[in-house]
Formats: sequence, C-alpha cells, structure tokens
Amino acid sequence: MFLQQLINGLMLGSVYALIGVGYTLIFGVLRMLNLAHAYIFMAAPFAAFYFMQLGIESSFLAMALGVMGAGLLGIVLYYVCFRPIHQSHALGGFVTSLSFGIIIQVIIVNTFGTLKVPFQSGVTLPDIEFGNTILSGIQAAGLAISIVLMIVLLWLVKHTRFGRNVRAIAENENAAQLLGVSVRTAVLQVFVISSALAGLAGLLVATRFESLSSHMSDAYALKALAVIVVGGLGDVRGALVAGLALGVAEVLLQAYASGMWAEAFIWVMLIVVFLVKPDGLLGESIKRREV
Amino acid sequence: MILSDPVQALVSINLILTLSLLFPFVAGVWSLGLPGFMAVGAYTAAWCSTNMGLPITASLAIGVVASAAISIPFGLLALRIHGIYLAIATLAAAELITLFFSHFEPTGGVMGFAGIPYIDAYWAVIAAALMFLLSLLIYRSRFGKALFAVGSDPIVANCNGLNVPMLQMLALAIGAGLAGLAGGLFSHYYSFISPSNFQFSRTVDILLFLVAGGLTPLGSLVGSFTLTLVPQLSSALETWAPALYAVVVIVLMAFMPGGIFPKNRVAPLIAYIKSHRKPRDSVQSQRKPAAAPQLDVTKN
Repeated sequence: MFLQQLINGLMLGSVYALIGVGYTLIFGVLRMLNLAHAYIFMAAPFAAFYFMQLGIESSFLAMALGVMGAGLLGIVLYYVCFRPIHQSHALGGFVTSLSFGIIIQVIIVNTFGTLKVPFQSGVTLPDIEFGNTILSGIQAAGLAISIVLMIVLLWLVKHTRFGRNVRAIAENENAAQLLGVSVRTAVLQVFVISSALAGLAGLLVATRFESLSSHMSDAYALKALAVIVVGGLGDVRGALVAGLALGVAEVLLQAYASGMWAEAFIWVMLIVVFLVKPDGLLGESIKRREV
Repeated sequence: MILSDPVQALVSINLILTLSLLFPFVAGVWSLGLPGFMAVGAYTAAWCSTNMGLPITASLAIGVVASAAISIPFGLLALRIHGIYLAIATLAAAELITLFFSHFEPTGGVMGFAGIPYIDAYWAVIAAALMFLLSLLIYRSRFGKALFAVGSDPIVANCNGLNVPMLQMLALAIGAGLAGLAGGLFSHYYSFISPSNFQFSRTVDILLFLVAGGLTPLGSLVGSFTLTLVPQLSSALETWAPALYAVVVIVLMAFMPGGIFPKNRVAPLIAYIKSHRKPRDSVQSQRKPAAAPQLDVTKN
C-alpha cells in the first residue's frame, strides 16, 4: 500500500518536476516568469488529440507531433511575448506570457468545449506486479520516461556547451555575451526544450487519466510555481528534487492525513522556505537581490 | 442609467478591485493575493450581516478592516522578500485563504454561503465612485508620491528619508482593504459566495485591466471600464473576449509599455494620438514623452 502511494507520489512529482524545470530554466536566462508555460503543458495533449482526429493512425506519431508543436509554440511565445518587451520592465514578461496562455486556453475552449474529452492513446502495456503492488504499464512507462528525461536534462545542463551557456547567462548575461555566448540562440533553445518538456508532461497526465479538459493546467500551473521557488529560482536540480518531494508529500498526506493538508502543504512549505532558506532547498538559485 | 443593473455592479466591483491592485503595484509590492483578501472581506461582511444582524454598511466596514488586518502578516513577509518572490508568496497566501474557506464549515465550505442580504447595484456604483475619488486624492497627495518613490527606487526613497517597509505595508493594507470592500459588495449583490468565486483567474483579469490602463487611478478606471464592457457588447464576443484582452495587452506592452495612461493625465494620450495622425506637423520633442512612456517601477 505504502509503496503504491509512493509510486503515485513520484508520478505526480515527476509532472511537477517536468513543468518546474521549464519554468526555472526560462527564469534563469530571462529573469522573467513565463506564465504561459502551464498552458503549453495543456496545448500539447490537445494538439495530439487534434492530430488523432485528423486521422493520424499512430498515436505515437500524434503525440510526437504534439510535443513538437509545444516546442514550436515556445519559439512563437518568445518572439511574441518576450522579444519585444524590455527586460527591465517589471511586469512585462509576466503579463504578456499570461496573455499568451489565455489565448491558448480560449482557443482550446472554443474548439473543444469546456467538458472533459476522452483521450485514448491506444497504447497498451502489460501491468507490472511485484508483491501486492500493481503498477499499470502506462504508469510505469510514464515514470520511466520522466526519470530518463530528467537525467538527460541534468547531464545537458552540467556537461554540454548548451548547459554551460545557460548557466553563464543565468549568472551574468552581459559577461556571458562578452565571452562569446550567443544569448539569443541559448534563450531560444531553452524555450524549445522547456516547452517540449511541459508538453510531454501534459501528454503523460493525459494518457494516465485518459481524458483532457480545458482546465487541466489549473491544478499544476500554480503548484509548479511553488515548486520552483522551493527548489530555488533558476536551479534545475533544485526544481527536480522539489517537484518529486512535493508530489510524494502531497500524495502521502492525501492518503494518510486529509485532503486539506495535502493541498495546503505545498503553500505552507513555500512560505517556510521563504522564511528559512530563501535561496531554495539546495541554495543554488539566483541570488535574491538580483531578481 | 444606460447600463443594466448587473453590468453596473460588475463594472463597479471590477473598478474597486483594479484600484486595490493599483496601490501595492505603485509602491513596488507585486501582490497577487487579491482573491484572498477579497474572500476575507466577502466572508467577514457576509457573516456580520447574515448571522449577526448588523447593518450592511457596518458589515462592509468590518470586512474592509478584516482584510486589511489579514494583509499585515503577509506585509511582514514582504519586508524580507521582493519582486517575483513576493508575488509568489502572496499567491500562496491567497491559495491558503481560499483553501481555508473551502474547509471552514460555518460559512458553508465548498458548498458556498447563501442567504446574504441583498443590496442594490447603485450602492456598488456609489462605493466605486467614492473609492475612485479617494484613490485620486491618495495618488495626488504627498503620501501617494512617497509610494511612487518607493516603487521607482527603494534605495533612493530610503535615502530621502522615506520609511520604505512601512510605506510598502501601508500600500498592501490599502490594497487589501479595497479588495475587501469589493468582496463585501460582491457577496451582498449576488447574495451567494463560494470559494470558487475567489480564484487566481480573478487576479489575472484585474491585472490585465490595470496593466492595459496604466498604473494610475485614471488608467484603472479606463482599463476596468473598457475591458469589462467589451464582452457585454455581444454574446458572440463573450467567448472570445479573454483572447481579445490578451491580444490588446500584448500589443500594448510592446508599443506602450506604461499602459494607456502612465501619467494619470489625459494630455499625453491626446498628444500621442495627434502625433500619429499628422506625423509631419508634430515636432519630435512633442512626441517624446508619450511615445514610449517607461514604467519606472523596475528596480527591486
């Protein structure tokens, strides 16, 4: 039973982590919150659903197209919402990206309605059984995919030129530019990667619950914000750890305490982190005075 | 009146909410706790008038005081954190408050609180008009200028003898009080409230009103009026209205980053329009102040 809950928690946590990583990467390079992120999370499964309706037989192809669509949306987002806005404008990116997200949501609502839409991925995997714990094949695959992706992402940030560029920009954009980092390219790469990850997280949620709704992002959007603060803004490793931890905590509290505490925990945790460790759990975030 | 009753109430409540976001933002406190403060005002006022039998005006006043008081602990938090961190912290506060009301049985929990005495829409209109005048007064006063200074550059403001944390807390409290008033009017006009009335999406709408209009009382008035009334024009527009706002806001942010009324004066806007109508006649210097009004509230 406990093991089952732990796995459920990791599932939820991996979704938080996948969304949170995108938030935190974009914050790192731009010093702006990208609130459209959670809507892109929702756009990918709807795009996949749309492609399936158009008559694409293979659901894998449709889902891959959905993720690619999310990546493209990331580029559009950058050019529409962040490129024209001066970086010193306090509310600029915040408000424009929120608007971009609203546009996505309105398009989805007007195309698919506000009701739940069944989402049949058509993927069947055998269940995995160990002891008295049963893990559905889809769940196991989802968990495996997200864990592999997180490891790949950590490796990317730590050991590749792309990762070094991103970390340099996060530390000091002007210095990075002087040292020959192409800021524009790095920022675009970050937008594509984080949007695609958000889209993938959306697809994982959709295949797991086998349904889509135009408000599926609501529950994740705000909690992912809490995740990146708890992990430390701009800290990829912190976002991953915090996402997984908060997901596990939420599911365990739901199971062994009450639903209210499960909901409240993430926010109480956020305020405690603010008071005790404002630079995030691992203390590697962008320093406060620079934000 | 040209507008129907529900529209009057909606416009008035939206105007008060926009003003409630205005003062914290002018003082550089990026508070997103608006639905939380609004919920406190709404539930307190509703509780006082329904269960304690107080007159509605007194209940509204108690609601305002309660929500201003609730903002103090979060204001204390604000002394430690700034900018985007503060926005997320106040967001957490709002979520916690809404969560509290959805599990607090005496006010109905998630089922909502019904049977609140009804007031006419014109009370909301009167309240909104009074609050607009009050905020004009505050904005133009020495105190309002101090808030602006704190928002523009806290360090310079501090060097000029302003008590920065105190002013920011006051701005937050004024904002929370106004949100509480809007909440009280909301609960008494609709006679029913539930936690789902106080969600993040409300902050989003109000934030877009404020940013589109500009961070001034005049901007709040124009932003909340036009953007509330546009969806009322036709039902076909209603489903696409949020997207319409969103496009307007993105375009405005790119071309007029300070909103339509960055200075609380009508003259710069007229000059801006004129300079675009007859680009050859206008002198370059005449265009300059209005062409790219910069929002100076940037450094945290």
